[in-house]
Amino acid sequence: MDTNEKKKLYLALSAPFPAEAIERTDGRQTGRGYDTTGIKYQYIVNRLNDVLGIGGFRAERTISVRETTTSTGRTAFESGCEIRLALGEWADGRFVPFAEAVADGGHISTNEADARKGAYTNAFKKAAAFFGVGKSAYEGTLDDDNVPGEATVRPHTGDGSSSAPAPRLPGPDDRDERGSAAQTSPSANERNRLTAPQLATIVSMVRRRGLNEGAFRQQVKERYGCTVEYLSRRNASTIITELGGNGASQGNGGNGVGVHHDGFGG
Amino acid sequence: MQLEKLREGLHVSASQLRTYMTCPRKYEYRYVRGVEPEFTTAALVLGTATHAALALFYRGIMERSAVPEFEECKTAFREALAAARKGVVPIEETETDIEAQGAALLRLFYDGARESPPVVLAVEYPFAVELNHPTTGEVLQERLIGGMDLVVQEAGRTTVVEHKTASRKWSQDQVRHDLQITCYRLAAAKLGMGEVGLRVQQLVKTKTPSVVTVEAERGERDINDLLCIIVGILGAVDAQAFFPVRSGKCLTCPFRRRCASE
Repeated sequence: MDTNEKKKLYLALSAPFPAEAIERTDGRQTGRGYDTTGIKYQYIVNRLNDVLGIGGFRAERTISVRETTTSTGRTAFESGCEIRLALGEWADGRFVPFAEAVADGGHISTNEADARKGAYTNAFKKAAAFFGVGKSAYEGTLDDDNVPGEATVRPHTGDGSSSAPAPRLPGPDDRDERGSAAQTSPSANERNRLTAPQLATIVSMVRRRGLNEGAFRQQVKERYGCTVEYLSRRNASTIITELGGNGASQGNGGNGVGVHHDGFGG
Repeated sequence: MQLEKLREGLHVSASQLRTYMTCPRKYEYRYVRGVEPEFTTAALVLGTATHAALALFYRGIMERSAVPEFEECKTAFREALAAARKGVVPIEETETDIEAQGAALLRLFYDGARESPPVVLAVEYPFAVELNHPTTGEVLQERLIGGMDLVVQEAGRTTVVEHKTASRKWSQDQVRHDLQITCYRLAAAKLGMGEVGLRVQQLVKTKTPSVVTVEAERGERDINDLLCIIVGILGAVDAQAFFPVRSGKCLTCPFRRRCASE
């Protein structure tokens, strides 16, 4: 792999994430006393799979757990994880890496399994950030633990940092490293159009519920003035909620579409 | 997989790109708002029916290793024409005798093509390929979809053939810059077809009809240009940039009345 290819790979890995990939916690709700902002674990895994392909990366980890107590005196588990994340490919049954990052993460929970899981995802995200994955959403340390609970002890991140203030997300005026073309051509998280998974979910829900697809599409046009494929993310989200809901609907309305005066139900 | 199935996901197509570049408002009517066109142009009906006949011709060679009879091709043409006439959208009123014009073009094509039938690999081959941002490499959520009219094998090389019915022979610039051809080149590379040949086979409906075959070339720069166009148009659509482009093409636009009244 030459420098240009590496540069391109890095750009693909570090591309911004859609808004729905970002998770935030409120310190007042988690009991930690500080807010956190991060990228959801699955989105990071998806990015690695999308860019590198299945089997294009490998994670090896060592997890340790020790008992501790929360500020209210309950037993808690403090878990640490050292992870080695390698990018590469399999050849003749052997994984051949071309890049590697080592990172530590940690998590505290009143549940041991959750503590282990949290430490692993914390370390994984940190290691992935070495390759640029999620970096555009952050200005500093990843503080991505998102397991609310009684624990009021700060998770250690293994790098000596403590509870950093919530990093600022890039705003519309922020420039990133992608160059001028990227500033005029919006990437996924800057766009308004519904996402491919949203569209797939809507189509799937309509079919699963046995709704008349043509009539459903017509109703969408009448309600939003556009075809399903050009819905905004927000409107698509509303439709998904309504299609998934079963309490708000008043029945099928006799039209076989499952569309009601105030929404799409079943 | 059928092209209709591929259309279910978020996608872009050469037709969408061409429409936006011709007139963003037309794009809005057709794709965003899903407005029913007032009519179908006679040219489109002729093109669709001719494609059906050519598809039958090449499919016969591929599946039966035999050149179908002319009457079979003509029947395919007539059936496609009849389907268009039965459609919800009326065909524009025109003095052109679509059936007679189609028969003349088909005859000319058939007499030439039957002499040296190619090795046919695929007919109306649908594709849906991932698109990457030209600058960041980011995978776009829209996939490029389309259908290759014909894929043949010639002298050890795979060639993608695009069929066109046109009122006049394409200029060199049209052949050089047509986006559909570039889409084929990109799709072929993504599908692992390697370096493919690209060809436009035109059935020219001039007073004296003719069949013109032109080879096309596309390189990396063309692919990059295509990706820039796609990303630019997606961004413009997201920003709802649907301004009208007034030109001579408005005369044949199936949304002209609505456009004039809004």
